[in-house]
Amino acid sequence: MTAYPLNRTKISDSIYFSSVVDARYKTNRISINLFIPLQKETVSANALIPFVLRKGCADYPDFTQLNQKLYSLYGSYLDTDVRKSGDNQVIGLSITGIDNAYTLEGENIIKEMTDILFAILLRPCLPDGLFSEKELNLERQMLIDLIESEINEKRSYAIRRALETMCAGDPYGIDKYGTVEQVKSISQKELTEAYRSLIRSASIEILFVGCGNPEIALQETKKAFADMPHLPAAGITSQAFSGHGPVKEKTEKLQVSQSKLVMGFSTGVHAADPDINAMRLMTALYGGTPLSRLFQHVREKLSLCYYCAARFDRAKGILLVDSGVEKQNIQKAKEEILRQLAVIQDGAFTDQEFEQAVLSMVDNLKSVNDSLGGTEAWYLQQICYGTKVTPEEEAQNLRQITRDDVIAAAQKVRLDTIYVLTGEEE
Amino acid sequence: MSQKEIFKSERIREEYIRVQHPSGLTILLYPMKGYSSVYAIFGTHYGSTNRTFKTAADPEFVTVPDGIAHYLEHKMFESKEGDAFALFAKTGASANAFTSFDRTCYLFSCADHFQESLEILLSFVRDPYFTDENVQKEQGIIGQEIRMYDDNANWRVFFNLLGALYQNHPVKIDIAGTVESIAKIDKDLLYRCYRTFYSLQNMVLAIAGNFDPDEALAIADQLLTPDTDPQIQRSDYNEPAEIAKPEVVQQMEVSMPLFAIGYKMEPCSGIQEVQAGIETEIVNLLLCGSGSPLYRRLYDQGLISPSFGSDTMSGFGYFCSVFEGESRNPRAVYTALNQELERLKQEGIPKEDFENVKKALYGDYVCSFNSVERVANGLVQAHFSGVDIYDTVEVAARVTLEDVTRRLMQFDQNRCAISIVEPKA
Repeated sequence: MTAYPLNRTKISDSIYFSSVVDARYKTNRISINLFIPLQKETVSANALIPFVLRKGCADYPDFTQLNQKLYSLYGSYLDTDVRKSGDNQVIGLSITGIDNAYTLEGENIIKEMTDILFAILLRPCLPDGLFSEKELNLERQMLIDLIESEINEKRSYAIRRALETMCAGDPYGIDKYGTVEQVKSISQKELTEAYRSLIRSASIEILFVGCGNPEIALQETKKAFADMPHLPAAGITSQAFSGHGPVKEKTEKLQVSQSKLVMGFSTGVHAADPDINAMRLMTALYGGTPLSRLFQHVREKLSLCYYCAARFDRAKGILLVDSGVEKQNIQKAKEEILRQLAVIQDGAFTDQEFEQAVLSMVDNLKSVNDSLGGTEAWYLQQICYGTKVTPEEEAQNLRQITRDDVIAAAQKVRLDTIYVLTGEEE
Repeated sequence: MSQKEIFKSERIREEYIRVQHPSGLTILLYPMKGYSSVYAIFGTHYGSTNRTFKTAADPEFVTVPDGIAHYLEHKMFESKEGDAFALFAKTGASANAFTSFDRTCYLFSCADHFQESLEILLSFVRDPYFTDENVQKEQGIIGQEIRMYDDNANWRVFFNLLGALYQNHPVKIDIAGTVESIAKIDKDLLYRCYRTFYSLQNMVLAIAGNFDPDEALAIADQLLTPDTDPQIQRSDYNEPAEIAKPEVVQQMEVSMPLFAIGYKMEPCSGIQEVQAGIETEIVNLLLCGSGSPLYRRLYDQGLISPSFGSDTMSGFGYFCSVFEGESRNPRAVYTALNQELERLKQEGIPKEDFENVKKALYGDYVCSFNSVERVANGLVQAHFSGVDIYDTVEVAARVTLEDVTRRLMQFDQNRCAISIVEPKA
């Protein structure tokens, strides 16, 4: 077995720099991930921060000049994003570019990429000590538009609404951007304070993945945070979702020709729990592959849905089934989705189906390291769950799981929420 | 024994093997050092736009219903013994297929059991099994797929633009066809299209990643029997240079108007298409890329958002440049884009801007060699375009300001259309 390839350096109690070097790539990617607890009061101001940061920094105060600079670094891709990881909101900044070895004139671009990334995070433009009113107004509107445009993609919109219904009262029910009303009320002062608090109190994970030399980025990280006071951070762990009481049902109407049915289940199994792999395998068998019960029975045999898939959110222990279905088939699809779960709970699946789910997961695991994004996401997850497992080791762990483990996992699954998005007419 | 030809790129320090297999199939083998997975594509040069064609055996050109290439793709997964997904499941590979304007590809990716998966891929695509009953049953599933796309505002705004740019070319028609057109598809038509376009002479096998080329060739030797060349003639589309209409508007359930603005240009093929594609990408970025003055102005006025972007699309009989995004006032973006075009034409492209954008594009092409999926797809695309996969990166390294200036002059306001999807009143 090869050694665990993640090299981890502590910068301070809540700031770490980690790197994975792999010669197969032609590129390098450096990302900064700031974890803060999801809270209704702060979620929108935090969400707005990366939008404003991406517009410039003290070194490149002009947005156009910054983007021109990125062009000249062979189109190095500077990205900011807002994610949800269990009970945490994650503010991400990253830069990806080709390695020095492939430049046309032998430039040292890793150094410049790192410089720009840290400048964006730590040296923003703050004329008079505040983010400028102009940038605030512009980016506030961009964020409002983004929230409002989520309705354009009906599949993801339905999933988001289902989770909000399911997790009302749980931090996970809070949208990563918050609400339009909250965004509207953010002032220059509030945004600047949110930024200062984020930098001081977030758990910060910096990752370098690529074929180049991470030492340049590590030195820059140490320098950047050297004289910055940092408060103890809340950590990055999450609580499992626990459902209570009767099944929640919600139906919404919009003008759509294909309805969406989303069913949310609680499992009580999450993060690094011992039976986490059994639950993931159960999900694959149930609705994670084209050979799964849901795909084969609900879609192929009964033609009830165009898509019908299950996914498992490890941080919260939530299982979601989402499907695109004709209006008149909603009830039938619902029954069939539950019937297929009962089949697994009763152990009425074949050895072949079981083995195929294992094979599919093992194969996916072995391919994780073939992309920068896959590698980064994998090791960031290990950090989040406090585990130290390579994809190859995880594949071996999966092979130890038995049919009985999967049946036991399925028996922990409880229907919590049924969400339907359907057309207005008829 | 098949003849192996090696193609090399000094620039990115890689190489691959090309084999003209005795069966008629072109095989492209691209082993990638250090990778764990393999990505294999078995593709035919046949997509949604191949509506009218004839072979040496046909007396006349035949026109088939729209959406049939995609329909065929769905049906290929079925055989007497069950569906191909079931076979792949036994190896753990992830299998899929897609149909585009000019090709239909069957593919799998895997880390283990590569040989078994390749055997499955090369077998099921060679073994059509269409019955009246199974063809009829597919109408329901594909009908649902079409309706799903009908709800997708991004998809609609794009196809509406193609409808505005093209008068006759079937590129303007949804790849899956329409509920009406697929109702005309039957077993016999599917077999006819299959026999015409799934001849190995019209196909390619491209494999990238962690595998042994000799093992792959041995499997091809064992499974593939020679196909005759059907001598396909594809009808040209009689597409005039003029656009169909300058504007098309549809109302849908969206929060803000979506738009797509396109410039229709003269189609080309082979290395000219690669060259024209790169020149056009550069013009797109100079006109309204994130580092351009126009992008800044529109952004600061709240007229475009970070979702704004541009693309070049081309194929047999079509070539256009497309700008897409969301805006409160899409017509203002349209006007500004055309004004900027005229300004650039008059004032010329600043040398430094050109050099920066060229580097950005070059970096992006180098990045594509990071991914087994992108390499395999790149091989297929290059093969069907009649070029080499390294041509793109090579042309990007050599393109000049003069080339790009000439291309700029071909962006014509009179051949520009806008498609808008606006919120329901």
